[in-house]
Amino acid sequence: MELLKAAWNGWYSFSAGGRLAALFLIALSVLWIYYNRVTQKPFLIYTTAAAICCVFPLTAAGLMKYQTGFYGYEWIWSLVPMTALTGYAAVMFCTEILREATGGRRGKNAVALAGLLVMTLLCGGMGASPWDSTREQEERKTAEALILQLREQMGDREIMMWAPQEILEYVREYDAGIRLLYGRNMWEEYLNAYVYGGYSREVQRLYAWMEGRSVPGAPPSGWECASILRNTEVNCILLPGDTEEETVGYFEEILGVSRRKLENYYLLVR
Amino acid sequence: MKRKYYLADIAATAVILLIGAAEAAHLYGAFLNRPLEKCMALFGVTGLAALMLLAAAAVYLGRRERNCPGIPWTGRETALLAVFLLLLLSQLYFITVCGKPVYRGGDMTPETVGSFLESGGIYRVDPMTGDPYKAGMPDRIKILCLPTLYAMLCGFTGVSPATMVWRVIPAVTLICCYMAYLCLARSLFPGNRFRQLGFLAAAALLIWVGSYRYGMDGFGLLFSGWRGVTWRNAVLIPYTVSLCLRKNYLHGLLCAAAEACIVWTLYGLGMCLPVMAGMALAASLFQGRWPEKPKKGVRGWNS
Repeated sequence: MELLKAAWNGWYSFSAGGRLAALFLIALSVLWIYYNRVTQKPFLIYTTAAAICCVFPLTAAGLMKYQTGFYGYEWIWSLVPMTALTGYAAVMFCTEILREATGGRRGKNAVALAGLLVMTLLCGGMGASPWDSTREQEERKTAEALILQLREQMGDREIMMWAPQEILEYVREYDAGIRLLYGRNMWEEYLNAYVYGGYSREVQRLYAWMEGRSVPGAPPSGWECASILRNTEVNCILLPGDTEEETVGYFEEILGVSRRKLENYYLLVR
Repeated sequence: MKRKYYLADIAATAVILLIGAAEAAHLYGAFLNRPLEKCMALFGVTGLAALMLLAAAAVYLGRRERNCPGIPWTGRETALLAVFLLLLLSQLYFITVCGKPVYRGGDMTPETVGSFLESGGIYRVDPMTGDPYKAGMPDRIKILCLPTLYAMLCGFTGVSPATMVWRVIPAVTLICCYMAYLCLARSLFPGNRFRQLGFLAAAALLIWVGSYRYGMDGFGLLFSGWRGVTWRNAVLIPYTVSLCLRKNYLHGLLCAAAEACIVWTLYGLGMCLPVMAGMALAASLFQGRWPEKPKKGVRGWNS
């Protein structure tokens, strides 16, 4: 039932935000209208049948089931050679249909081609990032600079790190030699498909404290986190610069370390 | 006689064979727990053997193409080629040089490649944390060879995992995509160079335009060209369609095998096989009902 619901909403979401899906349907219609001129009929017929299966909720749900339900709706469209058919229709339109419609007059041809080009360009983006990537890029830059400084300070020592999400997110992309208490799969649940098992309750409480998230039961305290960390191999801790003085003191006391300031963070090295 | 293979097929097939060689090395390393250096040696030997075989085929095909009478290029064809090359170069610039963002949601390839290089073996540690696996990982993921292929390429070249995965590989994927589209163009418009170039230019434009949404070919190629699904949708499927149009179904099976090595293939059939089955069904149902009319004044490379 859930798959059917996803398939029902899938087409609306697939055709929103840009109009390439609509352009594809126009391309299909043009080829069917001028069916006799189509030189590769099996290609047209296959693509039409596959597209129908992807648009109609029942067949789309069947295809999603075939995909084990793991992949999203958009991936069933892998079956449909959309770019290829739209390109094919564009060539057929420009070289056969248009020429006939305009009687081969160059001026009319050029205007029609320019119109087609503008229509195509309006159908989507030209490389503009469809998600907000500014924050990600800034965070990555900060994380890379921090890791570089950490490496300089820790020398050849093996590092096991606990830090806020905005740092941990990029650590292992930049330096696979640094071990983490938890990685991106803590907050990107989709990544758990790649590994069996999960994180222990203690580690989840550490994450909840660091990111200020709620957890079942009593909220974790700085004292509790420091106590949990004492029993782990973590030897490099980054606390946000706005952590309360008293809490940083707990970490220093329990772990037997002293703080240093590193950019906007407190660095505690064991 | 209808041509079955072109020089562009060599490039597309080379990619498939290299994926096969990478899969052999990957299975050797992942399931027999061999170090990465040994996998690299195995990949080097099998990959080179495959490429040498293909080079021989390329020489043969090249000789055959030279024997065909060459038709001079018209101004319109040169202009279309220039448009296509401009679009291709702008996309390559976008991917490699201009520092565009990458879409890494639900993906951990750079971490995985880095962990292979760091631990000197395949899936010895959890890429997310760097610690040994606590409860293992699913075999359906473990058999996929792309991270190993990228790690081996990093090992050969000394390039960092992030640069290899986010900059170099997407550029290679893009070029392979156009190789596949060239094969498709030649299958769709046999012997008509003008239309073939028009098709390539249209495809390049659609890839730029299609960058607006996750799941579109353009998005995959421009923002996440290292992923298995991008390889499948942008290279393997267009190439499969081109082979089906030429009725080279046996060769199409290679695409299905390559897909099984790089994408989690659902219940084992993936997408290339259904595409082949659909194309074969459409071809057999409608074979002979609409015979193609001979075109007048057709120009081309390979007629």
